[in-house]
Amino acid sequence: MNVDLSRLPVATAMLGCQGQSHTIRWDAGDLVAMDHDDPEGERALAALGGTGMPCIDVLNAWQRHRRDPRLLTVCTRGPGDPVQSCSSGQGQVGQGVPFGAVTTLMRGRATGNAFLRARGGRTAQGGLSTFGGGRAVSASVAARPGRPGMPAGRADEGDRLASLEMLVGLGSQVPVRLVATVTAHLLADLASGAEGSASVVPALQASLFGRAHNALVNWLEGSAMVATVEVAEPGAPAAVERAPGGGGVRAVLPLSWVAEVWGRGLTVVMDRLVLGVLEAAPERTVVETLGPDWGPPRAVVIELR
Amino acid sequence: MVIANPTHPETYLRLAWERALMSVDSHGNGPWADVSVGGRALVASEVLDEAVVLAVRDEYLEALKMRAGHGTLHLLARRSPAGTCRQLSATRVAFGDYEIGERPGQVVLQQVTFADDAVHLELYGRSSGRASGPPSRLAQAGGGHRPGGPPLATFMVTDDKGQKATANPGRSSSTDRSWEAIFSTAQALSATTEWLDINGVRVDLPPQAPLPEARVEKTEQLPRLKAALYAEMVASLTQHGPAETIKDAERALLETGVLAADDPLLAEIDMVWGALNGSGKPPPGLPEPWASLLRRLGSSDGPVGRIPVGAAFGSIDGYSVRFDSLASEPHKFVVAVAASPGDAFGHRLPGMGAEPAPLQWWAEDDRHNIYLGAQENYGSSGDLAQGNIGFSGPLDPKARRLSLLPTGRNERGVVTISLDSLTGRT
Repeated sequence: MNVDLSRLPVATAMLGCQGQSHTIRWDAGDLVAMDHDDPEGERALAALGGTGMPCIDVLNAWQRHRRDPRLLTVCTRGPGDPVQSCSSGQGQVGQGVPFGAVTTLMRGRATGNAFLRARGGRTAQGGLSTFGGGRAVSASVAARPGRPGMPAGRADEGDRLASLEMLVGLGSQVPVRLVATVTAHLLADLASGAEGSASVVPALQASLFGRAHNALVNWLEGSAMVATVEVAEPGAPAAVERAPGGGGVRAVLPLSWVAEVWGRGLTVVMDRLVLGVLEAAPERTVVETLGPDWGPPRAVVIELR
Repeated sequence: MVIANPTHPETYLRLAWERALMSVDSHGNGPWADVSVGGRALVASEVLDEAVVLAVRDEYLEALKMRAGHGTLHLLARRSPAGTCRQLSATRVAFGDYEIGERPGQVVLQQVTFADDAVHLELYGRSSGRASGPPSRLAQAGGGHRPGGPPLATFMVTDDKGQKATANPGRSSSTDRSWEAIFSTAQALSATTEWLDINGVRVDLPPQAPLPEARVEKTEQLPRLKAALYAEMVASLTQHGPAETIKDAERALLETGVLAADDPLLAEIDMVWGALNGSGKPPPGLPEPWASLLRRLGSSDGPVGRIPVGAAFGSIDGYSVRFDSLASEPHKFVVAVAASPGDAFGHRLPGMGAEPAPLQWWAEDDRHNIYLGAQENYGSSGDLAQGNIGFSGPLDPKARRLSLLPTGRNERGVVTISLDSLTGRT
C-alpha cells in the first residue's frame, strides 16, 4: 500500500543556525531549510569541507536516513515516550520534548491539526489528543557530527549516530512525520518487490507494535493491560477488540497505520481510537474510530473552517 | 504485547526490545533477560544470525540512550570493551596464623598471596572499639587508628632481598567483635622470599609447594542449541539477575516455532531445571552433569581448612585465569580467582552479548561429584577481575583430589589439586 505523504500536514521545527533562529519544514516527505536560498549549493559546499551549518547538516542527515529503519527504532513511540538527543560535547540537538500538551506551530495546509491547535489537546469533555502538536523548538545542532578522536570506523558510526540524533531532536512534530516518511518509503519498496526490502519487515512490525501499543495505553488512559497487536493482511480491515475474558486488547492493524494515522499525530480523537484514515483532503480529514464503549467503528470528520 | 505465532525470529527479538523500551525505569531496570536470553537462543538454534542480534541490540541501546536516566547509562557502560588480556601467572600462596600485632589476636596474618604485580596480605583481628590511651607503636607506624577496623592504615613490607613496599587497605569488613581486611602492595615482592618483615615483625613463610600442572583442553561439543540452553541454566544458577532466564529462552523458541511444545529437548530442560530448583530426590534419568551436581547439594559435612592452589592458564577461550587458594567449610567451598580481561565473571543482565558469561566454573572430585561455582565478592577493572568463586555444596570429605575446570565455549582448563592437607588429613 502506498501512502500519499502529500496529504499529511506540514510540520516545522526551529533551530539555531548562523546565529539566528531558522525553520526546518517537513512537507510531503521532504525537509526544506526555509531560511537558506540555495540549500543544495550549500550542501555541496559542506561536502567539500565548507562551513557547517545546522540547517544544512539536518538536510544531509535526512538524505542519509530517509529509508533507514533505525530511525523508526530511535524515534518516539508517542505520548509518554519523550526522546532527547544525547550528543555530548559541543552543541546539543534539542531538548527533551514531551509529546502532547505543547503549543503548536503549524503552517501551510494544516487541516486537521489547525483544528487541534484551536482546541489545544484533550479536554475534560472528551476533546482531542494529539502528540504531533509540536512546539517552537530552539535547538542548536552540532555543526560537526563526527566525534573527534575516534578511529575511522568508530568515527563513521559516530557520524551516523549524530545524524540520527539531529533528526530525532527536531522538536516533537517533525520526527513524527519523518517516521511516517520512512515507513511510507519502506512500504513502497516492499510493495514493488525492491531488492532487500523484505529484510525491513521486522523493523516495520516492531514500529507498528510499539506505536500501536503506546496509542492503546493512552486511549485506555494507562490502565494496565496486555495488548496483542497483529499485522492485518493486505486489504483486511483494521480492528481492535477486547480479548475474551476481559484480559486484554487485540488489535489488528496494517503496517501503514504508522504512516497514515500515527504519522498525522491522530491516534486518539474525541476519546476515540483512530483505526484508519478514510479521507484526507486539505480542508477535511475523515477518520475511522473506535469509541470507549467498544461499539461499532464510526467516522469522525475533522474539518477546517 | 505479543503477535500471532509463529513469529519471525527478528520480529520476536524486536518486540522483546520494544517491551524493554517501554518498561525500563529510571534505574535501568527492565526485562533484559528477555532480549538477551531470547536472542541467544535464536542464534543457537540457527534461525537468526548473531550479527543481526547484535545490530538490533545496538539500535535499541541507542534508542535507550536517547531516553536515558542514570541507570540506563550504567547499562550502556557495560557494553564497553572488556579490556586487554593480561597473561596471569601462578602465584605463591602461604597460609598461617601469624601474630603481627602488639597483643595476641589484635592483628593476625592468615594468608599471603604473591601476585604478578602485588602482594596481598589477608588479615583479621579483634575489634578494639573506640580509640583510647596513647597510640600504639603500630598505629604510629601506620599513621592512624580506625575504631572497629584494622588498627592501622598501612603496613611496610620487606622481603629477604631487601625490597620494600607499602601495603594499603583494600576490601574489609568488621563487626563489633572482629574485622577482616586485605592489604595490598602497589608492587610485587620476591615470590621466593623465605620471610617477610611486616612493620618490624618477621614472618617466616612455609616453603613453596610444587605448582600443580594446569592444562587446557577442548570441551565436549554438545549440539549447539542444547549447549546454549545448558549455558542459560548455568547462568540462571550462578549469575545475578532474573533466575528464570531459561524460561525466556524457551519462550523465544516456542513463539518463533523453532521448537514444538512437545519437543524432547524442552522436556529434558524442564526436568533438569525442575530438579535443580526442587528439594526432592533427583528424578531418574537426569542427565549428567546435573545428576552428579545434585549429589552434594544440601550436605554439611565438608572438611574445614585452606590449601594453596597456585595454578594459572594462559588462555581459555581468550581468558587468562589464575587460581590462588581454596577454603573449605562444612556447607561450601570457595576458590580465590583472578581472570583477565575483566569481564570474565560475566554481566549482570546476565549478558547482553553472544554468551551469558564467558566462563563457567565447574569442579569435579575423584568420587565423581560435580560442583558448579558462582562468583561472589568480586571486583573488576578493564583488564582484571578478582574475587571468589563459591561452589555449590561442600567438598566430599572422602575425596582426595579435586579438579578445577574453568570452562569456555570451546576450551576448558584443568588443574587437579590434592585435598590431603585440609584439616583432618595427613
